[in-house]
Amino acid sequence: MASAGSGDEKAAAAAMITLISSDNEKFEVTEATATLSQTIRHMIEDGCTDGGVPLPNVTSKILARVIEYCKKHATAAAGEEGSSSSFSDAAFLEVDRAFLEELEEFDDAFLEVDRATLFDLILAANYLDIKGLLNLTCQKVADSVKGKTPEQIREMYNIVNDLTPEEEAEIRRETQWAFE
Amino acid sequence: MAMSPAKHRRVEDPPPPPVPVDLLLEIFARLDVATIVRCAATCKAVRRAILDDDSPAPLGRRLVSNGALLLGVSYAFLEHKRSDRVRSVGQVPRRSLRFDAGVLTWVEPVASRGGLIVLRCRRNYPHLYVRNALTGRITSWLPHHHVSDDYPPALLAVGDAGRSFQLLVSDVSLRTQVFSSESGEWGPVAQVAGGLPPGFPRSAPRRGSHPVVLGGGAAVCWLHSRDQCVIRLDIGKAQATLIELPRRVRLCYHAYDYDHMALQLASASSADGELSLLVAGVRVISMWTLSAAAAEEDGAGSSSAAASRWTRQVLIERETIGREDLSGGYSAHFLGFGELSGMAILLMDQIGLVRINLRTKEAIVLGSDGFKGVDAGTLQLCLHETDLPSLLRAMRSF
Repeated sequence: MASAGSGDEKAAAAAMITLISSDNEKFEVTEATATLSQTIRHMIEDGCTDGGVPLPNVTSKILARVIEYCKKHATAAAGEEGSSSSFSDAAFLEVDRAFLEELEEFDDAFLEVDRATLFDLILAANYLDIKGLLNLTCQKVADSVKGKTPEQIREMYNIVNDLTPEEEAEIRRETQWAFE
Repeated sequence: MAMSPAKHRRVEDPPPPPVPVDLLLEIFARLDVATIVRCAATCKAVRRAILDDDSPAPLGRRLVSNGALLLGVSYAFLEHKRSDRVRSVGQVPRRSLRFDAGVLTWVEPVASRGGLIVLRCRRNYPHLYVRNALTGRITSWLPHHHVSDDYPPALLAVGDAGRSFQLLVSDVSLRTQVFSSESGEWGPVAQVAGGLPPGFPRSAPRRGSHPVVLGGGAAVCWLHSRDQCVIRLDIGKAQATLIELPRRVRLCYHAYDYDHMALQLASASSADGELSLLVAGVRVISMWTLSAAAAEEDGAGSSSAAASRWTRQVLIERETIGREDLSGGYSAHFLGFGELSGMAILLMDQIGLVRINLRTKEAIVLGSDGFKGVDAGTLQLCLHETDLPSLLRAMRSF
């Protein structure tokens, strides 16, 4: 166990990247994990990652969560690739399904955060260009809004209503079907 | 005193940070149309973001590319072919469409386009009326028309988010009448100039063989599957043309059982006025497209020239949709095409009701229970599409 672990670390050490959050906290991650972000992938390709990658738009609290997501999804991707040759079709499908189920469970648990964190994650996913995470978080917000009234949406997302009563009445007249 | 506002605020859930407009649109692009409309009623900035047609990626266009414009499908099973008695009605996917599928017990869907659905009373035959596919509301009752509507009617133009439209009815000798929602009346009876072309089908295209409208309402095309041709009516020129199906399709028609060749007209890009033909063959579903230039030429000259201008593109292999036993009955029937969403609906004997996205070439099984092994002739359906871009344009910005 111990020797296998150190072997992994050695192999990975060759491709470690340091990410630096806005509050100057350093995070060591593997290249496989970091390149889930297209933004960082481009930086690596351009050779701009020596001395660490500063991410002035992402706090350490959010960056830790983003890395947690990337680690899980990077392992899953690697696992899928590695298994494809050594299993029969049926076994591969089984492994595939197990991976997907595990990922789904992870994603569900990952999204159990307050709304402010969720929006910070959206901003970070957008800045770092992580498609899967952006999709996941935006879908979560969209699902939370579905079927809600304008008043409920305002309350959830701290939106100040600057429409006059006349304007609101006109909106309702114009598209009354959506408010029934 | 200073403590009292804090009491009301939930400490564990601080207000979310402000989100830039492009990310808001990213979220809205995942919503249903009704929720988008309600979001647009929360405040001015959000409303402007939703209605903004000039932004780099306007919401309307984004939803078009998502294929979200097909809200769903309503259907009715008849007791038997040509019956006017309905055995059951339903909707897929099973989410709350505002259109009540129950009305299909009494009425038959005869046309749908641009977010409108034209319905005809099953018993009191000549009565036509129009419902909005999104809101389910009745938008107009049509007076009686003089021409008998032998051909499936065609919605020529739908404008202003379904508030205005024109409906064309045609009898078996292509005598037509157009209803305009603006005048609220049927126009005069029109006839084809110079008579019908030789070999013109004596029967009408079968019920449910919905036409495709090209060039913004300038021409209507019906597929006549029994006579294996496309009937094209140019409304401005009052001219009728027969278009031969691609030679390969005609040969297959003879080689296989009629049931194994499912055909459906579509418009690949309505702006260019290109006519497409969807073909569900034994192994693949493909799309043949007739170039607009060939169609023009065809109007002027021989029809054989146009037959060679069909180009074929494979959309999807049948085995990627689901497992079919090729020794059994594996017939397929197209049941409709939605121009806004670019989706076609296919009934596959062993798989069920399938939705094919012509733009992304993806197929999704909408329903399998109750759709396997049914007689396509007993199934009537209508597509609920919404013209979201024009719905948004019709909403006022503040």
